[in-house]
Amino acid sequence: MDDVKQNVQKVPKRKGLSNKGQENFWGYVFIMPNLIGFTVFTLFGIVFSLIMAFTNWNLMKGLDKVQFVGLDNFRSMIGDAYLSASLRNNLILLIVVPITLFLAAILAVVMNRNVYWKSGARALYFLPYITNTVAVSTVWQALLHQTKGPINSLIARIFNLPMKQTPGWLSSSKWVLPALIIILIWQALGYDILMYSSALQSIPADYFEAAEIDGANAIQRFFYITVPLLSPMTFLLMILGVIGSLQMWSFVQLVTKGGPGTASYTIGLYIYRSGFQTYRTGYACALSWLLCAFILVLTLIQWNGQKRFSID
Amino acid sequence: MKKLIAMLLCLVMVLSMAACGGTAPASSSEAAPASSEEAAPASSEEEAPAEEGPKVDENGLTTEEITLQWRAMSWTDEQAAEMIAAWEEVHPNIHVVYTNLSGSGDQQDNLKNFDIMLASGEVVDITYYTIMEEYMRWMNDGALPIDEYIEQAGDDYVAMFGEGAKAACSFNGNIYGIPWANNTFKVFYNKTLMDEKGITIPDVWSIEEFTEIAQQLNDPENGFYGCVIPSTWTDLPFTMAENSGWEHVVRDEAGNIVPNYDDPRFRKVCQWLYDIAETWEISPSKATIQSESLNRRAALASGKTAMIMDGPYTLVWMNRYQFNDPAEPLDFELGVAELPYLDEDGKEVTFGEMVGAWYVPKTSAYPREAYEFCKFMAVEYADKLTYMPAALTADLEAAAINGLDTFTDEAGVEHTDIYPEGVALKAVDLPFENFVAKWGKDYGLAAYYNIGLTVLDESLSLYLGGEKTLDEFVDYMNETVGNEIKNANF
Amino acid sequence: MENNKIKKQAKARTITRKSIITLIIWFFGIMMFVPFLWMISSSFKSTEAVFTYPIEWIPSNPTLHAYKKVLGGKVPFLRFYLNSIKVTGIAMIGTFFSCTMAGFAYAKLRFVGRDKLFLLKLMTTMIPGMVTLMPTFLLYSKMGLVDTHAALYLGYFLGGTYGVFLMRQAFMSLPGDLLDAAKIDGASYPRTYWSIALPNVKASWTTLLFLYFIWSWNNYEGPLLYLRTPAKYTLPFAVKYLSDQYSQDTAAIMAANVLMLFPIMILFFVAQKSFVQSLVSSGIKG
Repeated sequence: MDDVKQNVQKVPKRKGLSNKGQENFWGYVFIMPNLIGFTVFTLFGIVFSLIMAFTNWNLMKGLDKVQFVGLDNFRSMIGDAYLSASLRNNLILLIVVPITLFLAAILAVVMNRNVYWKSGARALYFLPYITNTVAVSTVWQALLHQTKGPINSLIARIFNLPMKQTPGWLSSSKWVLPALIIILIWQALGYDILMYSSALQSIPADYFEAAEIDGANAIQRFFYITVPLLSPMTFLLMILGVIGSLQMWSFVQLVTKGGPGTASYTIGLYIYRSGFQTYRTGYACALSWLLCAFILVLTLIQWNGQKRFSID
Repeated sequence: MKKLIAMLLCLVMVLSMAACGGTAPASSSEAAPASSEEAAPASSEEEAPAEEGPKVDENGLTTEEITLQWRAMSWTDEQAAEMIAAWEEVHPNIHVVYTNLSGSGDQQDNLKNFDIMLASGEVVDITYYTIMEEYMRWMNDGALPIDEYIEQAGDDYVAMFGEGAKAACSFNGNIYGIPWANNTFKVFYNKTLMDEKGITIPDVWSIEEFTEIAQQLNDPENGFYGCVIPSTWTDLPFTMAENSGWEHVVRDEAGNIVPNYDDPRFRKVCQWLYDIAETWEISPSKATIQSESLNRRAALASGKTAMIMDGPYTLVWMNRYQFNDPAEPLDFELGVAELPYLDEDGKEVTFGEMVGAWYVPKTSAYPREAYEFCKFMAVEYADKLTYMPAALTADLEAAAINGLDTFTDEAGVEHTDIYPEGVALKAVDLPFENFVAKWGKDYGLAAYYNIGLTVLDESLSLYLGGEKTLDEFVDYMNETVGNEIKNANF
Repeated sequence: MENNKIKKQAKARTITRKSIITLIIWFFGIMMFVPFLWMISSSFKSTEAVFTYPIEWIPSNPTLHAYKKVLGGKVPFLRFYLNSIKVTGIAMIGTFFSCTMAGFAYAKLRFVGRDKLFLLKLMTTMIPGMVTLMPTFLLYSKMGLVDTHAALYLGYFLGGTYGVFLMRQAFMSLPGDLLDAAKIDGASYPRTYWSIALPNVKASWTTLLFLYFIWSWNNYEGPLLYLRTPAKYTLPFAVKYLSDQYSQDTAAIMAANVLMLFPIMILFFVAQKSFVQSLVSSGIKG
């Protein structure tokens, strides 16, 4: 009898709600702040934007003058030269992703076991990532200045060119995209190196040792062991990179404002311009859904690629 | 670890409170909407019976104590204070608060902030900006039409500003703007040097004659340019084409609005701009201007060039160089001439444009009073503050003398009669009968002109920098402007 | 003995190889750092001297004129710091609690609709942020939060999806017995969360805090859209504002950048070891 009583005391019964109810209650309490934010900003935003994409919402005229226009917004996308220029630029800028991944993979592998004070090295590569857009843009604008900038001064010296013939970088419609690509790779490299480094931790060292014993050299080891084992991380970074690249707008707005002409327009910038400058806010919403569709398609393609090519 | 977190949290909270505490008195603009919100309900409570009862005077102006919100970027706080003081002498019960919108060095950003104010419903009663940007807002319901207030006040708009101004300030049959200032373009030159070389500039001269004179005076080895043509103010050189009848956009047979860049006059100006810098090297190229941070007015003032094309505001800049520290007096006599003509059609044609107008944004709480304020400024005050007031009743001579021939420098010293007789007046003169305004003949095309100008501004460097040939550039302009017109929201 | 010799030779070779590679990697690392070096060096030069070629890494006539200009502007630079600290501080506190609590709940608690809600969240990550740009603006303007700091930290405060995912991942990797034991001991859920779960996933929430700190501190789009009074600007936008004002004075722009980045860089170099460690060891998987 006493034993039973003691046991009962050791596992006190909760007062009030049943255990299940407790779990429900606390579950909701815990997610409440996040849920509120999610509902108000994300869910509401998505639904509202979807509806507005079919209207002629004009930011200045306001919500009272909004009219439903069906598919008109999507129809006007077809002949829109700014849109096609933006999409073309976005596609060109996507090249940043594979280049960065390739360089980052090599660097991460090399740094993993072959470098003294690797955390310091990693930090050095990571620094551009934590630098904000304004600093990046102002410094690079100065560096890439066509006539005064140190980079062109160096190029003029090395290739014996008059200043006039050095690349125009940010003020030339030919060179602006390469310039942006350089800056973007510079900024993203560190993050990818860190991600790869973390993925490398989970590859057991025996794999490499076994391969080394079998006579594989460094390059063979890299391509036949490291790359396949890193493929989950590669695909993750690729998807994140593509999504990030396609959405980029404040960076171009700062560095080039989309110029010269439409040479560095991106679709994100075009959405911002349409929404806030030309007041075609309904069209801006429609454009953002186009972007969403674009991203979904690219992500699905990569997802399928991952299923087929990766080991997991 | 917990202690560290707790300490960090405390630190953040203390610093946040410091930031908050600092913000409160510093943010006068937070105070402004707050006070307008206090003023508005307070007086609207009193005005609600006013709509039925006699709380307004015979002109429809309220007799209550109210405060108007004036937001613009064109005046300093001191200038605005003076203007408000003059107004409040006449209307002591209507207070005005000025908020300078130049929060960013980038005008586009400032405009965007302003648009956001209107879009979020913040009360703004009075504003002012250049007419091209304003037109966008008028066309998108960003402003209140003022016809009824003009009527209430018993004013004759045309008598005050003229038919042309009325056409320029209207959209869709409603009047929106109250004109403030006009502008024109001239050639400003070093008369002393011209006299030395025995060159006189005729009243009417062709662009070839201009080039020839510039060539004669050009001395690149000694760092002296025949002329400096603005490469950043795209507007200016194309005025010569507009004087010859060219327009950015025209209506075709079907009545559609189409871009008009495949036009000999446009091409001629483009070619001339390219040649004068790259081929003949009489004017510095854009690259040179950029790399040497060349300023055309500074170049004229410091004797680095013989002629520039510019607006009358040049004289104000000359004043700054002459009198503000470090003061460098002009060592030559300043001359003013008309713009050269492009072809026979452009002979004896004067160019004038309205630069800016006041208007009442859609979120105004007191539009009738706001209109009265704008009108007061445009009619009573314009000739004190601007050199080419738009009001017909303004004293143009006094305005020109006051705005250009008089100058108070940074040290507070006032200078008068700066230029030889007649120079200041000549700078604002519109001598020929034939007059061309910014939008050519059809004011209904104002907004589309704006589009053309904006695209031209952004893209001219593609041609001048050698990236596109003239034909490619013309095609590009037609295509881009055509696209923008199609996308236009109005 | 032969073996020892071979081993020693092998070791020597390894050291040589490692040293060479270290030099190469560090060389490229310094190359990455060059823009910052140029920025710092230019900030101590007079405006004309900034673009002299060959580059003077150490200015021949160092001057503080650029810094004086920046610090003596209309709005004291300190204010921008305080604004940034305030906004990021509030954002981080909110993020910490929102993300860890939500992550904990999604990972360990069973409540009605949990999986469906999570799936919903997962699906919305596919939708780019640009889609909600205009509606979010509308919301903030209707709430009267335009030109306030709340518009900047509110989104972070309520927790971002990435953070929730990260924490959920972290909590899921905690062994179930740990929490069951707590339950049996009679601990309430909040207590379990605070005293038991959280300390065990320190690497993950350190990463969370670092990443969101960086994102919030560097946030430029927020102030671009929502702030217009210079006295309220946070650092990145403030520097842009200053660089527009001083458009010709590159030295001043660089000085402003240095002032903005300096604390972050110091903080980073001090904390980099633990940050990099936590990022790498939090084992973010594919």
